[in-house]
Amino acid sequence: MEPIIKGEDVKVVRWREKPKKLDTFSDIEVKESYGPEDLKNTNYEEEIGDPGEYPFTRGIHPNMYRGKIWTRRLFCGVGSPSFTNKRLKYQIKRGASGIIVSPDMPCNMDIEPDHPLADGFVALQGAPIYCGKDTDLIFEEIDLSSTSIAFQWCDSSALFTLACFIASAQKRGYDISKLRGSIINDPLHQYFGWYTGGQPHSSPHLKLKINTDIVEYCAKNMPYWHPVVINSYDISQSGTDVFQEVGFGFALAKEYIRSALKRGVDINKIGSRIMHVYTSNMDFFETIAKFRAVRRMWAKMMKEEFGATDPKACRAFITTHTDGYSLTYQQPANNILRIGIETLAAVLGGVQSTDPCGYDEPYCIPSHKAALMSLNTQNIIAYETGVVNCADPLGGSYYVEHLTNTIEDGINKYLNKIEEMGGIIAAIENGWAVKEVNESKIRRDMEVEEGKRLIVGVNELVLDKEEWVPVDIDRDAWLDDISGEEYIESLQAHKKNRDINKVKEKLSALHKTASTGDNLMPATIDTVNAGATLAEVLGTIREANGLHYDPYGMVENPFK
Amino acid sequence: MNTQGAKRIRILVAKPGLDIHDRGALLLCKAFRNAGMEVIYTGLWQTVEKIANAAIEEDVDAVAISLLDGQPVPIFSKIIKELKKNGGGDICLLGGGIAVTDSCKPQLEEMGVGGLYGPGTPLNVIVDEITELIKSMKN
Repeated sequence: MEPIIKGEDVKVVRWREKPKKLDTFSDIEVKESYGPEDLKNTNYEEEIGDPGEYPFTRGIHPNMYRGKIWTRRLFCGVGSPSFTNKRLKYQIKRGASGIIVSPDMPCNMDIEPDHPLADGFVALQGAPIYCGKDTDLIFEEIDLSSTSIAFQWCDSSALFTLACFIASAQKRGYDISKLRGSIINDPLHQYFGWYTGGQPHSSPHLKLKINTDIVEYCAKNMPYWHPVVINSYDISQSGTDVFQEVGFGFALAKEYIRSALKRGVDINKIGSRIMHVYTSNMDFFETIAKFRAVRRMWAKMMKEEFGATDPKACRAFITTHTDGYSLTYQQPANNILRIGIETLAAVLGGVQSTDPCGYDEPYCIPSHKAALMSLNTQNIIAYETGVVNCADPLGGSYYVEHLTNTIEDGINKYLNKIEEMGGIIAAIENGWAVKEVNESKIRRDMEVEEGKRLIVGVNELVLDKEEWVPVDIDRDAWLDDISGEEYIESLQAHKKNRDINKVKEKLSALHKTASTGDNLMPATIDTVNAGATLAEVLGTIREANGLHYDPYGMVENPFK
Repeated sequence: MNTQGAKRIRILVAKPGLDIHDRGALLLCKAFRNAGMEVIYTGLWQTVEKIANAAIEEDVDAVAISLLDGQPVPIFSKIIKELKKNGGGDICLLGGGIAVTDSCKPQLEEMGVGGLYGPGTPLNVIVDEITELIKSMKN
């Protein structure tokens, strides 16, 4: 601590300090206060409604968390499938009420560990699922009838992963029509939302076709499953504002829904099955208002645009991940508080599940202790704060209702722009979507750099490392135990030991199905049961559609 | 920053393999440009061979590898090997991002990686140090 110099007064420079920034995260202007005047055009029955009633602004259930506390989850997936399994069990025993399985990067990019781009990325940032054996191991001794499972697979590998999961569940005797959970399956957002440009040898039309196959298959066979989670979270993590985050999300949803309806799927069956993941960021009220606006917009879209007749199909199921980008390397203990505030905002916004970050995310994927802290955060809010007692406790607040209206208007404007362009595929193909997101990518950092946005410990109240509140950061110690090599060897062994003729036979059947345009899921499950691997399955489908075997054009079909 | 007549620093910013978190790399591009450097960005999904080739073809003074994900030691050692093989052994190699941890820094330094910047390093520190480093290498 700095020595106090005798005879010199310490001046309190922050006395009567005024806030520096008075608009929201998305630059929405905020007045000094709000009153009845600001809501004079808002009709309660039509625009807000009671909790559990159309348009569901106040929540999708009348009693909200009194009926079921939101699902408390945590990102999981690292190392071998067995290591991931251990980690999942650890989380369940320490208070998780649902689980998330996240893919490693090659999985997420539709390629395998032996791909030239995958070197140094296997089993690091998520779990590897490249064959049916992997899902057997990941879910070993986990009761699938009482567990809601969220798969974070975004791209077309969602088809393969879900097929592996179905095969594993059926082997263990589960009735798949009773399984609960979700898979992201939002391949089009990959073209612009998170990383830019898309894979060089890919077709958004084939990606959409595979997405629809999963929707159609689940509508028929897995009614409790959410076959799509619109991944607006990734779009937000590129620095976009709330209008872009939700506007792009809804544009994606419209594309998937239109495609499913063309296939003859009933909107009443999928309206609430297509769910959403948004970020919960440090702008407390903007986050709360966003979730309320999303529910109202979704309900109206389902009823007015897509003709849903069952009000239940008009409900938006929302999950949230806290804002990874709000976390700081400096003074990581502060992140615990940031994550807590963001999780509380999500709950006050009426979400169905939360997935808080680990406080050590600026250093590594969550360590065991950071994971424990995130679980505790959710359960402290659930058990100690009383927020579960009453549905939509902020409903009727002049400010929150007005902000909800403002956000809805702004999203609609942005969404209409995309619709006028011809929808999200057109916006991808003409380069507009990529340009929009790219322009946002460094905006937030520049605001911090220029001092327009204050972040404690980064550009305000910066302290030397010695003064930081100590918190356990054990990245290296625990990541040292993880090795991709071990997994790569086991995958090679799997490929050697399987009945190769059976694999070829099932892959050629898949090729035939893929050429006819029929639903790919049943044939994919057959290939998984025969021991086929991720790239073999997706490559076969791609070739049947006139594309290169490898989305990056770097690997040839091993069976040719 | 840039002095008249002096040759501007040419720097290649690269994202290897499947590391697709590119906000840091884009921010660095902007900071390097603002400091008067000539910046070339590889874009995503680059093999180490492609990165090394681009560095040599573009005749850059330095290659800055940004890594949020992935294993830095094998990735850097492969890039060094490729650079040396193709006559780019004198190009200054820099690394930054979450994956560049304190524990792998000594190994990377020993391999000859010139500047290593973990998360939380202020942009001006990165720019100033790199400028000095490249100047001293050129002399």
